[in-house]
Amino acid sequence: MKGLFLKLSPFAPDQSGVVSALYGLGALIVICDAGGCTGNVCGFDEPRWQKRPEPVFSAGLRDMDAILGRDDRLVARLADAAKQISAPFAAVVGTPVPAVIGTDFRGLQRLCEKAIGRPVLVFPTKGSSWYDRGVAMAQTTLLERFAAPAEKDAGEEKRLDIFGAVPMDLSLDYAAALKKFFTARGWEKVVLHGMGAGMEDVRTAGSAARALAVSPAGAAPADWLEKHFGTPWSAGVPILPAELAHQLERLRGSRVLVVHQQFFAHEVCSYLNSLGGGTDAVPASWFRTLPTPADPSPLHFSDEDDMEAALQDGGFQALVCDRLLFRTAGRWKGDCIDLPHFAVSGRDVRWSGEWVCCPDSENGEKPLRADMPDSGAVRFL
Amino acid sequence: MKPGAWPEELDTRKHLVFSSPAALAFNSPGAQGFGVKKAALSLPGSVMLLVAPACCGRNTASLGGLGCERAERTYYLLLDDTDIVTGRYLKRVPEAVQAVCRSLAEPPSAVMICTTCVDALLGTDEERLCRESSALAGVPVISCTMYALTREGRTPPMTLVRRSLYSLLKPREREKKSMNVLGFFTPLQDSCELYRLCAAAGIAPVRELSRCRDMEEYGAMAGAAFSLVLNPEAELAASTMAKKLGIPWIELALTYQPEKIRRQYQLFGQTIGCSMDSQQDYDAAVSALDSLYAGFGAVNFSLGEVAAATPYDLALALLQKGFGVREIFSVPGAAQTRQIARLAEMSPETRIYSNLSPSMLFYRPEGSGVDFAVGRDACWYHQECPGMEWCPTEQPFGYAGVASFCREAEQALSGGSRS
Repeated sequence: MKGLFLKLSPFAPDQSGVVSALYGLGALIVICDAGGCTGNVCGFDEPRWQKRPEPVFSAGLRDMDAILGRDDRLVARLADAAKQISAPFAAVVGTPVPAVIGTDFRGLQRLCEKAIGRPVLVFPTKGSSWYDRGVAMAQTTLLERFAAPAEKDAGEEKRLDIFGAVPMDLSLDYAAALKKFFTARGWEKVVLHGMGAGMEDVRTAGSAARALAVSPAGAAPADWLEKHFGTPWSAGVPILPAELAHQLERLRGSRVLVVHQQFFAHEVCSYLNSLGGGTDAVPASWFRTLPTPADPSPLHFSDEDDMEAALQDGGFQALVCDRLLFRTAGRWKGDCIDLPHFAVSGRDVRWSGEWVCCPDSENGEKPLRADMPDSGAVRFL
Repeated sequence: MKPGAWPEELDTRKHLVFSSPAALAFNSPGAQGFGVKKAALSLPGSVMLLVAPACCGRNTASLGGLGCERAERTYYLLLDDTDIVTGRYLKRVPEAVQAVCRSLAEPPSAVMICTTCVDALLGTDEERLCRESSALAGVPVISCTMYALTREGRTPPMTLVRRSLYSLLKPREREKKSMNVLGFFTPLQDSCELYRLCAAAGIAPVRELSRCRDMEEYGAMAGAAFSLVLNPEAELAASTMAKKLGIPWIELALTYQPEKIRRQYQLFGQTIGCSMDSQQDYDAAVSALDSLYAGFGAVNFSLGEVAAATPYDLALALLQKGFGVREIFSVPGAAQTRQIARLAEMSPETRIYSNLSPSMLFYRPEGSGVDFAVGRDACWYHQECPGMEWCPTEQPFGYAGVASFCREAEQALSGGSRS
């Protein structure tokens, strides 16, 4: 049955993706809920929150607020908080409650901006899509609103902007290693949007020499940057944890299904295929997939039965994915390797600190390039 | 001061709700104890179908401790955008319940359908949904509502879930001396004197939902002579049982003040027509508090609300013994008015903070003069000082609760660390 999860628990939702992408920018974030969604977003999906809480608030909606559409109360509460907190902008993040009552987010944006005298971004997330949609929405909206036209002066020729990186895909140590990897290859400034980038980095994003999308969620903002500033972008994740690579070696000669966010799954497959010996690895994802030259029709799962069917029908001998997803393999039998994915199981992982380059990544350039749909698809509101 | 005159910072309707780790119990009760999802699975052998957008079920996998096993008994019917707006998913719910039952080796004792804010706003008829599901799946189906939107209303979710849990009880022959204990989702400490005092008074058996191993034992709760309510959130359940099953109820409060505990037991005894001699337990509790004071002197406490105690009551108990209470993290309700008035007399310098106020973003522990923190929230604010979360798996109550509180505090203070 569509939407029935008997073996899995739900993955990170779109509002978590928005908050994760905004985390670290000092924004005053208001989640338009009664409290529960905020608890899930912060307490479960944002690993940075326990050590470094940011001004993330619940609107504290009550039944009568929702039934009577008392947006004025939300605006007043936001204005009160904005007096106490000097944030560069505020963000209002949607949940199922505004989705049901049909909140006019554009109208709310205007009211809030008038009340606090600062930019307000609105994200009409509904809690029914996965996190990657929220990440794409937030990072694209940030660029649309704040990225200023800039001359690419000599100082920024070596600036690389990375999109689609949030802790739900990449652990914090992985992000640090990624930065180190590019710095070692001559990039003087490496900006990881969503994981350490500040407001100034967002404003000057137009001066980047190149952009990299490390997940399909990063393709939308990277594409926007190219369309508006001519910044070329590519896609992929250039390094893999050494212990994962070591485990993958035992699958040499097998037909392997790799399930993660599409670009990471693609890199794991590239690594596996480079082992030779007839290894044949295929990427798949539960999240948004984009056609690439290497994979014009990426394998996508929507329901629990999809994965078992793919494993059975595809003649796979091995499976690489978060161990939570092993449950959906059903009667299929084969070799399984656990590849933790925070957005799936909420498991944070700390790798040993040793990394290996993915095939074709040695010089920091990736040949993989995803095809974005028409730019209309980038607009979310 | 009356509730209406409290500062705006203490009124959650007046401001945004700050999400800090200290406020997690409010924003995500299940992650820090018993939220609706975890509580509703207290029924032995039951399973849950959460009917909601994906975001509402996201933290289920994280339900720690007992929750891990409960997470395995949770299934999801995830709603998409169109479902949310049109409510068309309601037609799929009975089939989903049937599919859940068919996927199990043995039929569950009951299926709890957990609905969320979406259904609160759509006005879903849960009773009908349960009836139709039960008819199709052939098992009892009951609803539990996780309506965060109504949490400060008259019947908040944690009150309703307690009523739901006892709703499957059917009238049966009365056992003249048996008693139900209502209020908590984990059993009272084995060492709690309540069991012994009741046994001495001839009250047996004493039944708690969390100690029921199967539906047979659960069903026997319907034959109790009376129920003892230990948490106000169980009052609705108790009064519903009184109406449906004719079981009267008595309420005792969770308190850490030995004198108050003694008075409660005296009144309890008078009500049921027995004498309850708790002098020995009273002496032990007072002695435990004396020993804590003798060992560490006038320790200054910071008390949080995420603990197995009401911070205002605990503050009074500590102040009566000579300890200091520098701060309390808790949004007070009308029920705390008298305690706050007493607190103001005994310790006017005690500060009361709301975990939920946006101003807590700027709270800094330096200069608070706190020596020891109690409660998950207070421990989070005072990460550099010794403390204890005081969220034991078994529910502390009565004199035994006081004694174990003192014992654990002594250990934590001796080691200068966290327990």
